Amino acid sequence: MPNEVLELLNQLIETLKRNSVEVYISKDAERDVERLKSEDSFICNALSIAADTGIVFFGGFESRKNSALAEHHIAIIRRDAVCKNVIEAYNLAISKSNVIFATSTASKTGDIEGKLIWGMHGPKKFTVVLEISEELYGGIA
Amino acid sequence: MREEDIYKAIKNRSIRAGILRTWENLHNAVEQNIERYRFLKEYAKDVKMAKLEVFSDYDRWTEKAMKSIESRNKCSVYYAEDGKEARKIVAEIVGRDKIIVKAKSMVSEEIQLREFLQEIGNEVWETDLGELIVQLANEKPMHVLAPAIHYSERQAAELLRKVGVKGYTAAELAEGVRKFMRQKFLLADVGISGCNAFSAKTGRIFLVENEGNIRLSTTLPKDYIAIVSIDKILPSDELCLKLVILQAAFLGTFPPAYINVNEPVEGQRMHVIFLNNGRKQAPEFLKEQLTCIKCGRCQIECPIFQITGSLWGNVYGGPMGMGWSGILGEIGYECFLSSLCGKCKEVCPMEIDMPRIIRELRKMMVRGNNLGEV
Ligand code: SF4
Repeated sequence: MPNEVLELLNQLIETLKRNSVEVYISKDAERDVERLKSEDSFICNALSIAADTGIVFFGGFESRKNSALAEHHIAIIRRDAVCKNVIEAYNLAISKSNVIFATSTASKTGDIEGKLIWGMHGPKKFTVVLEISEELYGGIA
Repeated sequence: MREEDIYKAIKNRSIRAGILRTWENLHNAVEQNIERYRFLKEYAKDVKMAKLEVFSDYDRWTEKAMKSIESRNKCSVYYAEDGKEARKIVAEIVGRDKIIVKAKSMVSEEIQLREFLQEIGNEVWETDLGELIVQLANEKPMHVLAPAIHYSERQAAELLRKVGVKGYTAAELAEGVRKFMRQKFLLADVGISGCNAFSAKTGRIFLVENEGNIRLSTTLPKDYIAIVSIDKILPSDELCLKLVILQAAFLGTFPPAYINVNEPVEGQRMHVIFLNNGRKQAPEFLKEQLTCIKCGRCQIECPIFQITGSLWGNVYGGPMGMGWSGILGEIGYECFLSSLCGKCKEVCPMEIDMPRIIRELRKMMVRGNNLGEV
């Protein structure tokens, strides 16, 4: 079982990095997030995340508003929120909150000559703090 | 479409350069997505089947969709048969002297909503960077999802100067637009969006994007109007999710930065307008085009579109634009411009047989029929 879990977590981390997301692995997310936060950041707990695509679901209208306005969006993700795929992640999120929204990376555009620019209208940076147990910590690649 | 526009397009090197640049950026990205995300093909089959099912009884599905959201608090639901009716409904909701922030939406292009709202005395902003550039140029979008691909950095800078955005590089311009538009988002009275997919089961509206402008346009204003063309109705949330994933993957930008799942909420008045605009009356041979998810891949890959851009077509250009023009009842001799090479069908996630559709449209043109008589 831990092997399967580790495989899933390692897949998730690889996916997040491919999506240009800053990733922190933590044994205590509440504590570690303190070091990342600033007056321009918005921190919220994720309802679920899909390991295959890195799509993160959040809940609540106020969170939707505040996360879109922030310069830096920080998501705390706990082990039990990690799903294999996006359909599973959607179903888990909708079971926890009525109003949901998803984010997978910082705001971006390629509208001028296809040049990739981060931080078009939404956050310029998206960070994931992935909280896992002591037992799993050592197995993360 | 006017004949002289095609000659203009052929002589305009920046259209070709822009589309080829986009092709270089996106072609391999789509191929990689197909390779990496093996579920995409399955998703496409599911969505196509569901769309055909909805098409087979639009009346029932539209009623179901309207009911799914009618009962919710803070939500008004409307039905518009055509663009004129939709504009009238929007005008009654909005009134005049309002600041309106718009998310890029092809259905609003269909009904010329921005121009109409400006005419009746409102300040209207396209909030997507590419669409803002097109608004300032007073032109039509060059691609269904990437509207300003034909402008160089220098041309974009010149256009954006009209609203006081200074800078020369794409990064400077984007930063300037971010600041300019942030004020508009905060001051806006009304936000308007289209809809990528509508769940008839739950009344949720799915919208996919990368910039964050849709999220801000549909979250910050006190009044939010969503225009849902009836081809966007799907039976469930799961199918809606599959559709938005497909759209992003086949455009080439996957995963999308944002998936918005909008529904009535405390603190905002929501208005949902269902729009037919020719879809119910579409003849049998155009049925398949209604399964289109508007990813724009057939446009980028088409050898004719690579020369002409969306000037080949009406509201919708390129191969998909022929079928859509047929649905909207505005097809003309542009359907004879296709080489019928079949590339569009080959790359379409929904495997829509556009060459067949174009041949049927040609037959009709030759017979001198219009679509209503078929
Ligand atoms: S016709 Fe196919 S390829 Fe073209 S926009 Fe529609 S779904 Fe995409």
